[in-house]
Amino acid sequence: MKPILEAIKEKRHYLDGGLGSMLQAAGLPDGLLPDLWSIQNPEAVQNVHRQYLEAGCRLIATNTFGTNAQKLAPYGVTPREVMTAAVANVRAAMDQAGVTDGYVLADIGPTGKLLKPYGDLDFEDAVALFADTIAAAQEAGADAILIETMSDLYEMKAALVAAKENCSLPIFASCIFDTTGKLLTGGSPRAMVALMEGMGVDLFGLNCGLGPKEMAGVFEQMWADASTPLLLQPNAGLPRAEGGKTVYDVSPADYAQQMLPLAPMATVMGGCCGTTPAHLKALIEATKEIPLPVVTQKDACIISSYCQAVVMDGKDPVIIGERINPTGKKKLQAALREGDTDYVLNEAFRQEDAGAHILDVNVGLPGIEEPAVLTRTMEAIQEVTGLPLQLDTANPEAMERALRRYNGKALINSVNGKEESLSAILPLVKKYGGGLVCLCLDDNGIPETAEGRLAIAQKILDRAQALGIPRRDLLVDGLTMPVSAGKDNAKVTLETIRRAKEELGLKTALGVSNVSFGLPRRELLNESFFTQALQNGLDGSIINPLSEPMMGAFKAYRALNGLDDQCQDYMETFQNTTAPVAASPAPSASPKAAADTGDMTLCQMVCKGLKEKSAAQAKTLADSGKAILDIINGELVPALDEVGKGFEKGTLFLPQLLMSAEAAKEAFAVLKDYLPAAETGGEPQILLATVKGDIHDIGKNIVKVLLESYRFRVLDLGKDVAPETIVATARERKIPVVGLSALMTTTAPAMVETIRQVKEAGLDCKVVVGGAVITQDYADSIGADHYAPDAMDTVHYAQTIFGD
Amino acid sequence: MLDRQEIARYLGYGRKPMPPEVSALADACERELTGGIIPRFTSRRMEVDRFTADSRDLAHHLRHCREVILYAITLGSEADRLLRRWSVRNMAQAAVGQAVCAAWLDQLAADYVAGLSLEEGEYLTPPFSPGYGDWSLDHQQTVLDLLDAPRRLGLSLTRAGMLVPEKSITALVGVSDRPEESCSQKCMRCKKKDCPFRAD
Repeated sequence: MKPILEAIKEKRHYLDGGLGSMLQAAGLPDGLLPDLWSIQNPEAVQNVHRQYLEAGCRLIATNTFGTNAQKLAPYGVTPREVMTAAVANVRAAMDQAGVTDGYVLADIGPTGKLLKPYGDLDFEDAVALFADTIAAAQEAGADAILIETMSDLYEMKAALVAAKENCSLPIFASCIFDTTGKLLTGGSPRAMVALMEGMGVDLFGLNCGLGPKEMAGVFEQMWADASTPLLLQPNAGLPRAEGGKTVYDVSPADYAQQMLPLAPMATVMGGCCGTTPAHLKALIEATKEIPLPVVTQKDACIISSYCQAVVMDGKDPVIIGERINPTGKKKLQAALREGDTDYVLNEAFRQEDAGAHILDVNVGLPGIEEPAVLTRTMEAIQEVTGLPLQLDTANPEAMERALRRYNGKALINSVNGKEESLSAILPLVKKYGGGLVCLCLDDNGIPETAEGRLAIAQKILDRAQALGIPRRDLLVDGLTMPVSAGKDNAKVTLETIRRAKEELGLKTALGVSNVSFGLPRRELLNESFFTQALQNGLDGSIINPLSEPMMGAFKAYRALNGLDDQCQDYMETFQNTTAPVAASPAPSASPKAAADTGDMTLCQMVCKGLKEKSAAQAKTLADSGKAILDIINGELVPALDEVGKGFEKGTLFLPQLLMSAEAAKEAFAVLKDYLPAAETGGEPQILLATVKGDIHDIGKNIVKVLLESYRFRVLDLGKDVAPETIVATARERKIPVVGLSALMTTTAPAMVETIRQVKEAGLDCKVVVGGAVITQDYADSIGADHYAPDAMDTVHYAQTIFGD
Repeated sequence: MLDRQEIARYLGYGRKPMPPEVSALADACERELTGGIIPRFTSRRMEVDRFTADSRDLAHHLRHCREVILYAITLGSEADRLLRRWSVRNMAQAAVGQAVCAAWLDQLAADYVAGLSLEEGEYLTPPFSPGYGDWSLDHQQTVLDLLDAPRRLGLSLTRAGMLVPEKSITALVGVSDRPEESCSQKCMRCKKKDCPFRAD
C-alpha cells in the first residue's frame, strides 16, 4: 500500500465525520468517556467506522480523543490498552467493509488542562502525557497521528514535540477556532501556520467549533500563508441547545454545498461534531472531481508567539528590540544575577510601547547559568507580552532548552559557518522550527569581502536545505563592523545584505549600531547607516527602539518606500511631537502624571501617588545637593506613614495605598543611584511565595510592592511554589522572614506542609501567613509565627523584626 | 460603562465613591479589558435531580424547581495576562483591574441570565455556584464536564481545584414556576453576613 502522504497528494482522500455524536446515538451513556467503548463495546465503535468507510472515507480516526493517562486513570485502563483496541477496531471495520486502501489515524485530543503559566500543567508534563499515547499508537500500527481540536498553540506544540520524539509516523494536526476568528488562548490563524510549519507538520488545518460557512474566513487566511497541504473538518453548523441536548442544523446536502467553495484549498476534508456518514457521502459526491489544491511554497518568514505573528516578507522590514542584553548594562546585569524579572519585564514593556515587533533576549553573563536563566527570562517575558522573541545565545544547550519551551516559533540568533555551530544549531531548527539568523563567519573569521561572506551564507543555506529547513526561514546577518576600524566596513556589510537577497533569495538581519563604535555622536552614524541598510534590503533591524532617531529613520523609510499607506503609521507616531523626547513610561502608569503639581513637596506627591512626578522631584532634590538620607527620612517615610495610617483608619483604600507605594518605590529607585552600593544592596530579608497549587498571586504581589516601598529587600519566588523550593532557598540565602500566601481552602494545606518543612529543617526564620481564607486561629493552629490580615500588617511585622 | 459603585465595593470602598485618580485607573482598565477581550459563554438546561443530592443548601435553593440552567462564563487567559502585565507595571492598576474584572463578570453573568430564553410562566432563582453554602468545590469538575467547558471555553481546573483562566464564573439558576423565586438582589440569600464585599 502507498504511504499515506503520497496517497493524499495523488487523489482526494476523505477523513471521517463525527464519532462521539454517533456513539451517543448508539447509546453511549452521558458522562462516560467514549474512548472506553473501544474496549467495552467494540462492535458499536466498529459499526460507526464501517459506516464512514461505506460512505467513501478512507482516513479513519481512532476512538481515542480522550486517551491519555490522566483522563483514563479513574477507569483503571492505560492509554496503551485503549489505543491498541481502538486501532484494531478501525482495522476490523475495514475488513468488514472490504476496504483495502484505508488508513488508520491515531486520534490525539487535548489534555483538557491549561498549561502554565496561566494554568498548572507544565509543558514537559503535557509532552509526557501525549508521548505515552503516541508511542502506543505507533506500536498499535497506526498509519499517522492526528492531533486535533487544540485551542492552545502551546499545548499543540507539546503534542507535536511528543509526536516527533515518540514515533516516526506522519503528523496531521488541527485546531479549533470559534466565531471570534481566534483560538481560545488568543492565537491567530497566522500564528498557527507559523508553529505548524516550523514544527514540520505534514498536513494541518481546522476542525470542530464552527460550520463550513463560519470557518471559511479563517481557512482562507491559512491558505494564503501556508506552504503545506491543509485539512478541513467543520461541524455540521454551529451547535444549538435543544431540550438539554446539543444539536447541529446543517443537512448533508447543505454541508456539501457549503464545503464546495473551500474544496479547492483543502487537500483533505472530513467532518466533526454533528456530521454523519450521510454528510460525508454528500461531501464526497460533491467534491471528488474537484482537482487537489496545488500548494505553493511561500516566501515569507513568519515567526510567532502564543498569539500573534510577525511576517518578514523581504519587503517590509521589522524592528527587533535589542535592549534585553546585559552587555555594558550594569542594572540589567544585576537584575539577571538577582533574578529580578520585573526589571527585565519593564525593559520589554518599554520596547513594546516604542514599537518593537520582536524582542531580542540575551542573558549571556560570565558565571551565569545560561540555560536556566535564558529559559526563565524567556518564559517571564512570554507571560506578559504577545511579541515574538529572538533567542540570542552562543550556548547551544541554552538555545535548545529555551527553544523547546518557547511558546510559538522563535527567531534564533544565531548559527554561523563553523562546523560545530552548524551541527549544533541546524538540528534544533529542524526539530522546533524558527527563523534563523545566519552569521557570515566561520573558522577563518569574518571575511573581508562580500563574496567571502556570501560564500558562507551559501554554505549555511545548503546545509539547512539538506535538513529540510526552508530557504524562507533564513536571515543572513551581513555583520556590522565599526567603520572606524576600516573605511570599507559599512560598504561591505551593505553589499552583503543586498546580494544575499538578490542572489541567494534570502532575508537579512543586522545589529545596526555597531557601525559607530569608537566614534563620537554615534547616533548620527547609526541613523544614516540604518537608512542605507534598509535601502539595501534589511529585513530584521536589531536596534534600540527607544532611540527616536532610529525609529524615525525606520518610519520615514517605510513612508518613503510605499510601505506605509497614507503615511498613517508615520503620522500616528509623530503627530503632535516636536523635538526629540526621551521615551516616556507607559501612559497608563499614572493618569494623574500630567496634573499640575505646583508647589507640592515630594512628600505630598507620594501621598497623592504621583509616580513620575515623585521620581522627577527626587532627582531634583538629590541634584540640588540635599542629603539622600534626609530626603528619604524627611519626605518619603513620612508620606508612607501618613498613607499607611489613612489605610488603617479607613479614610483611604488599597488602590491609593498602592499608588503611593509605587510612587515611593520610583523615588527610591532614583535615589539609590546616589547612595554608595554598600548602603543599598544586601541579601534579601523577606522571601515571598504563593504556596504550591495556588496560582492566584495578586495578594502576594501587593504585599511585595508595599514592603519594597518601605525599602525592605524582597525575594519573590512567585506562585505555585513547592515547599522544598521555599525551604532550600530560605536556607541557602539565610532568609530571616518567609511570607506565605494562599487564596483557597484547597491550597491552604500546602501552607501547612510548607511550615512543617520549614520547622523540620530547623531554619532560623519567622513565617508570616496571609490570604483570603487564612484567619488568626488558622495561622495559630498551623504554627505560623504571625498572621497578617492585610498588606500593611506585613510591613509592621517586618518593622518589628528588622527595626524601622 | 460598568457600574462604578460595584468596582468601588470590590476595592473596599463600601458605599463611598472612588477618588478621581482611582476612578481614572478604573476607566483605563475597563478600556483595555473591553477593547481586547471577548468573553465566552456556554450553558445547558438540565433536570434538577442531577444536583440536589450534592448539597442540602442547593437542594433548598432549588426546592421549587424541576430544571436548572447551568452556565459558565470566562474572560479567558488574555484577562489573566493583562492583570499580570498590570501587576508588573503598576500594582495599583492591577488591584483596580482585579475589581473591574469582577464587576464585568458580574454584569456579564446578570445580562446572560436575563437573556436566557424561557417559556411563559418560568422564573429563575438567583445563581448558585460550587463553593456556596455546603455545595462543595469538589463539584466544580462535574460542572465543567457537563458544560464541555474545556473544549468550548478553554476553561478547566487546576489540580488544587482552581478555575483557570482565573476570571471565570460557573453557576446554575433554578427554573421555577413561582414568580417570587426570582429576586435580583445580590447576596440576599447568602448567610455570610460578615462578608466584606456584602452588598445590601
